[in-house]
Amino acid sequence: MQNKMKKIIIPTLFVFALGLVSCEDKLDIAQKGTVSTLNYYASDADAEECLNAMYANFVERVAGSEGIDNPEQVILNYAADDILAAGGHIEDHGAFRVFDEFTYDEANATLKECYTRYVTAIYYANLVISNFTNENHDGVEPKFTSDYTKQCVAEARVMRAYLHMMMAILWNCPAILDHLLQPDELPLQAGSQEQVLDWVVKECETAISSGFLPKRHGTEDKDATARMSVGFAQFVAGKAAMFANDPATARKYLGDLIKSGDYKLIPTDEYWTNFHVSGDGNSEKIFEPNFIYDNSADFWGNTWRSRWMVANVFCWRTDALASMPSACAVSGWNGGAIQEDFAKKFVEHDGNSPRRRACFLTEDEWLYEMEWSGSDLNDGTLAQKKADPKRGISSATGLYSHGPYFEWKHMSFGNPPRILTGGKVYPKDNEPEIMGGASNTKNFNVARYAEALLLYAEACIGADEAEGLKALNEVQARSGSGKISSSLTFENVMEEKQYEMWFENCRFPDLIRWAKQGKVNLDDIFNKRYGGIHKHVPTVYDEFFTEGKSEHKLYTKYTEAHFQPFTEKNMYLPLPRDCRLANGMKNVLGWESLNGETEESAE
Amino acid sequence: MWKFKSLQKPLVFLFLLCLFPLGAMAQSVIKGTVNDETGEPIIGASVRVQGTKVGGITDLDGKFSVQADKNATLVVSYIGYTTETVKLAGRNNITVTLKVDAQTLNDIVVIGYGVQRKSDLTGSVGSVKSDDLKNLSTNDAAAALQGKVAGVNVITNGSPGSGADIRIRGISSNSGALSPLYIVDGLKVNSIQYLDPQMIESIEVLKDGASAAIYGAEAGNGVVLVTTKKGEEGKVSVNYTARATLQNFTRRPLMGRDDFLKYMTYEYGEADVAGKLKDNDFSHPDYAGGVIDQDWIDAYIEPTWSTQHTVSISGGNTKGHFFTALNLIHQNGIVRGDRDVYKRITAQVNADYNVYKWLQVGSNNTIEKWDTKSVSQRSYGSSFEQMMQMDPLTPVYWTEISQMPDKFRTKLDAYENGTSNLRLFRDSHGWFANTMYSDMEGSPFAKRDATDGTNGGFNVHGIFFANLMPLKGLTITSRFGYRLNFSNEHTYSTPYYVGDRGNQETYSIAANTSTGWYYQWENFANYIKKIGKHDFTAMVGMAYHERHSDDSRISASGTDILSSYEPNFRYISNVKKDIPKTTSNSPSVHANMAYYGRLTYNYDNRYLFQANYRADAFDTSKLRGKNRWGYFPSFSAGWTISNEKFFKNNVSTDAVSFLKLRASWGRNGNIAVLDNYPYTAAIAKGNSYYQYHVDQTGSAYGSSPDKLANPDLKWEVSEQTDLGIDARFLRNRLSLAAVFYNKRTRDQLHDVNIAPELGFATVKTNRGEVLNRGIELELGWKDRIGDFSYSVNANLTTIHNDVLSMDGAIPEYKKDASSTNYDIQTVFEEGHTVWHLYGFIYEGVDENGDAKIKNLAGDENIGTEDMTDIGRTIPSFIYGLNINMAWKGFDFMLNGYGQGGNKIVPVLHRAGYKNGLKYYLDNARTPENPGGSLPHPAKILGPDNDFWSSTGNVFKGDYFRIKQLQLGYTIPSKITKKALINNLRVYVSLDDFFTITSYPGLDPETASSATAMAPSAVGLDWGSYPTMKKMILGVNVTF
Repeated sequence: MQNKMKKIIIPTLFVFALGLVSCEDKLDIAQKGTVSTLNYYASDADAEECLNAMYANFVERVAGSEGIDNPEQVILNYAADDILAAGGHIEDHGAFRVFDEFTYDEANATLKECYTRYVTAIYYANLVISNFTNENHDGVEPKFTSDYTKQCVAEARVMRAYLHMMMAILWNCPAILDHLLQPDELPLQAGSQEQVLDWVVKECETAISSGFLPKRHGTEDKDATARMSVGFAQFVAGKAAMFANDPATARKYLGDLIKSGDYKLIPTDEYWTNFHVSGDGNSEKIFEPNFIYDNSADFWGNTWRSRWMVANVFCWRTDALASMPSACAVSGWNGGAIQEDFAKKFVEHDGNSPRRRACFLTEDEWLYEMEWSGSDLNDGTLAQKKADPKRGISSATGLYSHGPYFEWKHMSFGNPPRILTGGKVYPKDNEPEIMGGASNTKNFNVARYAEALLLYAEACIGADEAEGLKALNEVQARSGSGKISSSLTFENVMEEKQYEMWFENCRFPDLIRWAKQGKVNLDDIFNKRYGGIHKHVPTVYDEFFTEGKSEHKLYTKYTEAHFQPFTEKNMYLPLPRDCRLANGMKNVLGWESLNGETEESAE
Repeated sequence: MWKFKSLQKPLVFLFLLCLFPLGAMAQSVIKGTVNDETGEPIIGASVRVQGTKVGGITDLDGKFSVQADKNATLVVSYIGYTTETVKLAGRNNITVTLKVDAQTLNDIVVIGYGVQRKSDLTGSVGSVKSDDLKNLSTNDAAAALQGKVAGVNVITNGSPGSGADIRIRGISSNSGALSPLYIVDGLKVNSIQYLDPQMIESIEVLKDGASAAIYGAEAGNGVVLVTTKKGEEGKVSVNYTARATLQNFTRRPLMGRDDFLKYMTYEYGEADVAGKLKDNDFSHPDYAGGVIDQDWIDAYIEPTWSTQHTVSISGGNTKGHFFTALNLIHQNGIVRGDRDVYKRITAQVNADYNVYKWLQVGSNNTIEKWDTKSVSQRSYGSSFEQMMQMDPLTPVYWTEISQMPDKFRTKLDAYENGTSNLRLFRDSHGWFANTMYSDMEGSPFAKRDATDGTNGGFNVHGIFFANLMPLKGLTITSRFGYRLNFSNEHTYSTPYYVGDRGNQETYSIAANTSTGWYYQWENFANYIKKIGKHDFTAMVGMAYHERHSDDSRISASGTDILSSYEPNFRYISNVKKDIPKTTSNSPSVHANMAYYGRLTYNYDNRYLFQANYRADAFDTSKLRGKNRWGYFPSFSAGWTISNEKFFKNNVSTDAVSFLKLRASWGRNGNIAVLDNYPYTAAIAKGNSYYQYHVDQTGSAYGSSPDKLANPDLKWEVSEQTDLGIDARFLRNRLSLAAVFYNKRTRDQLHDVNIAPELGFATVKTNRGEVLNRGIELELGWKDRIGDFSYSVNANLTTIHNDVLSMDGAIPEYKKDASSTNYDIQTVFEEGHTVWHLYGFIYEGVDENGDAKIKNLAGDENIGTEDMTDIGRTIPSFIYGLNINMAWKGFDFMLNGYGQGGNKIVPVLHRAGYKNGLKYYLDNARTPENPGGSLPHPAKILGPDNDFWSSTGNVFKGDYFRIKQLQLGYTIPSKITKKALINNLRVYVSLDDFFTITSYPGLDPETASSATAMAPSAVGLDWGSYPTMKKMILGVNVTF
């Protein structure tokens, strides 16, 4: 027994002792799907992945949706004097209204989202630049360079310049982020907007003159519109120069762009395709981050890029309508309406031009020329349509913040409407496989040639007027309005731009720029014109439904919104509070009072 | 000094008189006295003549008299004492001495890596024994703890197969890692749902920091130790239990047709309602008088049956024991049809054998096969949300095509012509109707049927152990534990049309395969030494754990994806070759190791000391190498005053049988908050894509840093102090335990804002401190009066919860209900309870009839700046009540659980013609009800109206629920013995049948605490699967 016990106990104790021996090395488990930053940025393949990540971030974040909107689109467009943030009722779409009604503050979530999207996109550009040049915190030479890495750097440089220009337009004095920050490094805020814009022009020049920046090869070259190019660098330099009130520089870059012959306005009848899938990459496009639905790509990647729910927002409030207009890809929430006095002016100016009809429909066009999915009378007589209960505004509460004009410039078309297509076949905009069709696969608008021509025309005022007038006339001729200016004046350019570029991120920044140059009066525009936009908010009804009349007829009632008058501080945005407290930057122009606030007192 | 001894007799007698009408039960033939070992008389002891119904009770002097034959045998018993059988053998006056039942005093409690006498405990260990579990009708071990142990909050969901989870002493983390560590027979498991309570010998809950410290970095949320049964020495016992359960749900909080029309008229006016009715209301043959008045809860919920069977065979002798059991469950939930089903077979095989006197080997194993199907709940567009919101004007069915509105008929025609593949859902009675009054996604039935799926798998768990006893007092244990899990999930959905908002144009198919294996190897030695009055025990050990998982997922979707759509083609293998498939697979490995030890010292059963220590190390997926070790000490002490001489001399043990004071302090960690290399930044390869070609697909993949590194990151740390008193009075009949706990948890993982120019807006950092503090009270009484025995146990726990500090981190605001357009948020913020409700303060109705919202910021508008803390979402107190009674063959059991202090906000109101809680109509201020406390419905149309996110829509989450009310009868053995049955018990039970609550929604229990939801969303009621009412018929046979 004793022996047996020993025979068993001794090995058992041995095993036990073995158990006590450290097996700590088994705790070192390598992370999957990652590589260490120490071994990276060392080849053309690494540079390519780094550049791809920059574009991927831009298309998914800066150009993608957040919640039900795209932050840049909301901030730049709703603040303009020709768009109203609409919705189901006065409380609906509060996130849009605050920019429309100037009631936003530094804690606004859309504001923070827009800011962080821009600076994150700059960070991605800086990953390329700081890792493949010595433009980094310590001036360290890169591990690897080649002609290809120089191309990547040139592209990243233009991307970074564009983003800085947008930030200067919105925040006046953002930081100039000319290298990748170290974890303990704070951004260096610019002293003035001009300083940022001058830097933007210089960066574009550096990229162009490097010789490595891709160039568009003729007007048929679609792929060149999906990445940074010489043409886009010229556009950014020209636009930045205009915002820096330096028309001579703007003339140079925009003139080069025009002279290149690589860009051309598309035909009048196809103007509408600029805002729909069929126009992606057309001869008029300078840069639009590219998106094609790819069911092998990741779900959320497709979802955000397709601006999920923005498709709902940019469609009319369909639950208030008698049936679904056939053009709509999804049920709509009526996020943005054309300001009715402006719409009236637009109709007077453009008549039935394809440009005007691409932007919005009049009451009769909307009721009787458009197809309604619930109606059997789409091919019926006008008299039949007038008594058709399957069209019109059926809701007793009408369409809030909406007049009798029906915008669809950015609507995601499930069926491109006959009014615009003339019966030709065009692809639809939405993708049914993304979120039940609440999507838009059209590339996000960034820059098109018409804006370049109008900026150039403006830059030529008082200098090269013949060339400028030619550019302006080119836009006017294409519009189909029949109006051709015979002289190059600021008013002519300003007016044409409001029609041509309506709801395309231009109007509000232009007004601020022009106000600084003494050319417009913002108090008149925002607070007095049309009796004050927000003292005069329309709701449109259809008396066929509200009063039981035998024919459709729209009428409008007015109420007042929750608004604050436009003041000087609204020319630029406050820095988002969380960002400001973390990056130590200061507000300027009206928002300075927030600067001294510490985190505690801000609670 | 007052003499308790002199008072106790009348007190006890009075108490007994109150309980039971007593009287002389027999003529005085046999007389006697019952004393305890000290010679003190025992009052109220039962004296019964064996084999008869004749008996009596001892009086104040311990005396009794019964009528009996001179050669009869008397059975004398008293609670807390051993039962004595005395042969009279001709005597007519006897003295019987009862001994204190050592079992009661020396209950053994399982602690980590060892056991301890309950009387020696210096920490807070809640213990539930098999006797308390055996008649429970739940099939989930975690649910069995509800109301049984102070400090333990059991979180349930009504849906079949959704396991219960446990929160011990509040919530201390902002993460989802809130569950305790679960250990079954020494094996670490993720959940104890698989264990039927009938297989369990005991469940111990290590609540205080000192007790849990032996499990170190994983014990921050407490530890639950489960011990499964082993056979008893003696005859082989065969036991069979069967149960049939009728489930239902009968609460009807929604508006019916008349109420709904009234509410809509308030909201939208008579003309609007008349217009809507004119266009859509029709005479339907399914309804009385043709008038549609559909209760959608009635439609969607039906009574269903569930069954359960358990067979166990156990036995043993001096050489070894075995226990085998097979448990079979088929649970069909209350949703109409068979789309909410849970099936499980569990087999348990436990055996041990003493190879030599000094060597015992054994193994415990569980094999589980499970299958589950479930319906959607608690989310935007879920079937339960649709059930709550569908208007009563819409019928369940369109039984004739003529009833179907145009747009549906068009879709149906297109489907039937083959021009569209969008089908409309239906069953044999008709098509599932959708409302024409609003933009609802669709009928809950359509939601139920939209996806076809199966989910099921196998789990095999077990341990092998050897106990080596080479020296007296020394036991060396080597224990190898393992878990194997395999599961498969298949989903398939086809294009359908339920309405404009509820439709899908694509097919989708997915298959997931999960496999995992885990092993742990633990070696530890326990040494016990007694020197005179000094008792020492020492334990030292090590552990190594390794976990592997290897999950694969394949899915495809598109308008035409399969080579055929017949049922036998609905598999990934039949996806067309040119359809892209989304796949994923990334095997993972996790490992950790530990050294641990314990010392206890007990002097003369009076002074008790214990110290624990554990050093834990985790792999690099959680912590970087330099930070991997964590150290967790604890200390505790106890003083058994009742064993002190001065106490014994002055207080009778009859009055105060036991009295102990104890205190403990310990440190624990919560490592579960760390995962996926959180401290490091690396290049995530191929984490993004871009398309350079405008006219053709083809993605170029991008790589970038995955985050900003914080190399100092570590786990949450809790430090907890306990002060407790354990006492038993009146000869152990009355027991009391009271504990004060104070738990401070620091280093939560919070986001801290950094300059977004760094590429990331935030970085994870250890910040802040959360306090959970409270009192746990357990009070018990048990006694026997003749044939009638009973016990009453009650417990109460208070939970003071406070985020003491966030140390500069950003408060976490969660808008879990944002998709409903409610403004309500829950917030993790300094100075408040964790995840409190953040909304507006409602001050009644103003002169215009609008909701008056308190303007906290003092500016012009009401906005987010006027939101504040409007209530806690976790209960501030929980309590349980357990009553057991037995008389002759009858037994009765009542288990109740209650909680309070938490608030619930229903987020189910919507604009448009959608149903809601009748409460909102009943309390609206209208011409008919001028005293109503809520605004007129027209004033609060949309869910984004501030009212809906204000205190006006906050309800008490308090409830008390009788979890189980059971009456059983054991058929006399003299009858059953004839059929070779030792024991035959039948019972009827009402589970979750009675609830006291003021909450106007479906169910306060699952509304406020459903599992499988973000901890931040607790308190928001989306329409949860309610707790089913159950009526159970059961039988238990032992051969």
